[in-house]
Amino acid sequence: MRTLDTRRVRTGGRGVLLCVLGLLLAGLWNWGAPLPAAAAPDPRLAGLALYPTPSHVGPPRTTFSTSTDNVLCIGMRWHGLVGAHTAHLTLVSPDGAIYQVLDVPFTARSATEEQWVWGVLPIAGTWMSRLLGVWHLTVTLDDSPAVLGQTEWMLTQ
Amino acid sequence: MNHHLGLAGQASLLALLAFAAGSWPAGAARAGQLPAAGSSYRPSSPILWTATPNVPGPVSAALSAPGLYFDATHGNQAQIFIGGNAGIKQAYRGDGKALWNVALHGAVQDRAPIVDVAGTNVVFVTSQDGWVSALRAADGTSFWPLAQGQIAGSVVAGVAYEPAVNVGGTLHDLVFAGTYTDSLALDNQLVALDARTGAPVWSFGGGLGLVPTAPVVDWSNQTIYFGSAAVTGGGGQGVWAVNTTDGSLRWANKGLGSVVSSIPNLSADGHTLYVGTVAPPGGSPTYTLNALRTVDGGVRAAFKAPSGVGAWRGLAWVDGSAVYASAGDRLYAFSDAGASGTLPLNTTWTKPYQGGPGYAGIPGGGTPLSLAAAGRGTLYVGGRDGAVYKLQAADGTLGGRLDLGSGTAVSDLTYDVLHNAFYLTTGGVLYAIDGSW
Repeated sequence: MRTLDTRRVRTGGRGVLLCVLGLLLAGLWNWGAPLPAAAAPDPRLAGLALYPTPSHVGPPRTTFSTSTDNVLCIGMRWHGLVGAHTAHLTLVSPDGAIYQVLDVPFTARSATEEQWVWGVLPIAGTWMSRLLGVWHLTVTLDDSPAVLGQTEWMLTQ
Repeated sequence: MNHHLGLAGQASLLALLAFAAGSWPAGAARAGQLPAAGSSYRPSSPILWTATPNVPGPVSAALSAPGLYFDATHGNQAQIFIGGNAGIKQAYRGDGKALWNVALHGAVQDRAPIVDVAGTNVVFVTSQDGWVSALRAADGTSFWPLAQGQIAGSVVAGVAYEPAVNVGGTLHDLVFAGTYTDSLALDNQLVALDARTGAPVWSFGGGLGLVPTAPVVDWSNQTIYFGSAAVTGGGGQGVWAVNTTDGSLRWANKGLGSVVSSIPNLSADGHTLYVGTVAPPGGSPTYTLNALRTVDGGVRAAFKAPSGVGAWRGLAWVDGSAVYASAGDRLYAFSDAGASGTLPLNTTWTKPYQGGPGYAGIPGGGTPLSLAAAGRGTLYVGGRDGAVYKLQAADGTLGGRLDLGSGTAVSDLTYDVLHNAFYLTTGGVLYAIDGSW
């Protein structure tokens, strides 16, 4: 399964349809495959994917439902980091506005081993239920503005 | 005063209507007539003023619906409170002047009630990092010891409140909040905290899924009602009634499915609980608005939204037998005079705005606000399209559409009866709207 998607998706009309198809295709990419260089300006974020629970067991998801999914779990696979860091997850709603910036502090244990880090966002009972469509996520690290990863997903009824 | 104070619900939406003792303040000065620094004033528009909260870092557009309080020591000046996903809580004066701003660190999703606790007006707010915070309305400082109030890893829904609850012979003013832990352990809890200290008084658990929306309390019967959603993997869903004096279960109806985005609300006589559910959790869901008997949790009447309509959202507004509720892109009107079976649609809504018999078409509408108690036959609801809709309650026809230009969802509206103004948020901005619009 693909982990990073650098395409910025526009909402509305045919763009949405193309985006949905793109997301479906993206789900067929191998999660463990090397990331395209253009999609990963910094190699420290080795993977980025979305799940309904904070576990990377099973395939990642590209569609979530406000009726049946409680939380959006953002799985990050970090590599080559040591010490204390904070990942900043910026979630942009389908109207193009920033919905939330989720700060995820973590301590990297080893510079040579990959490490999963999770950001969890509630869906049920939140404003998300009124913001259906294609969402966009970008990941930055610490004080650097460099976007290390990004992806999209569809939020449905 | 309405004794059913979920304080996320009708009582706070139609703020202090009882405070006005039935007198419509036609001559009252309107909030916003004096523009304040930092706000914009648009005299030719029903928009009285706007204000944008100070947010550290990137501006988050997601702001909670405004809470409202009248400062009796300053001529009943309105004070408006909003929170946001950037983790802030900010207070404004009724003319849009910023009063204080507090960083709560966790995202704030709920409308915060303001309660007089032993002579101090306190804003009770939850944040996604699991805290219930009590802030003095006057200056935003913490009313509780700073260490008090963390009840779980995550809390989303706002609080409910009940004063003078006799718990084991001791009177407590109680603040209630439900936790939001998506775990198969089903270890969520409804927690009762002492409103004066933040100390836990009791908790209710035992197979409880996550609590996504605010509870409602019937003070006269010492009962709190709330809904829960099934955790991922299943279990814990239902509608629950708990004794506020000791945290014991009065009843649970687990067969209705999950409560996801519907806020429970009571009828005026306290005999009926309106709540929307999703069943089954997972699969192809069915969305039902239930009228439950509060005595035992049984279904007296219900209405299943037609296939494809979507989930019930926000609070079902109750005006006597008239009940209004949003589902998907529809605002439904019901006429419930103790019906059984199917909850009957309002038959006078024959040709409502953009709709069909019994419903108007409102894109992604939230909680409707009726001003029937103020002698007006109008309904107001915010849409997903950056517009506020005004409908005639009698037949659902459009009375007006105010496009705020945000292009995104409009929060639930709060009505300021003393100053005849609506407050709402959309696109990261707080708006005050002329109540005569």
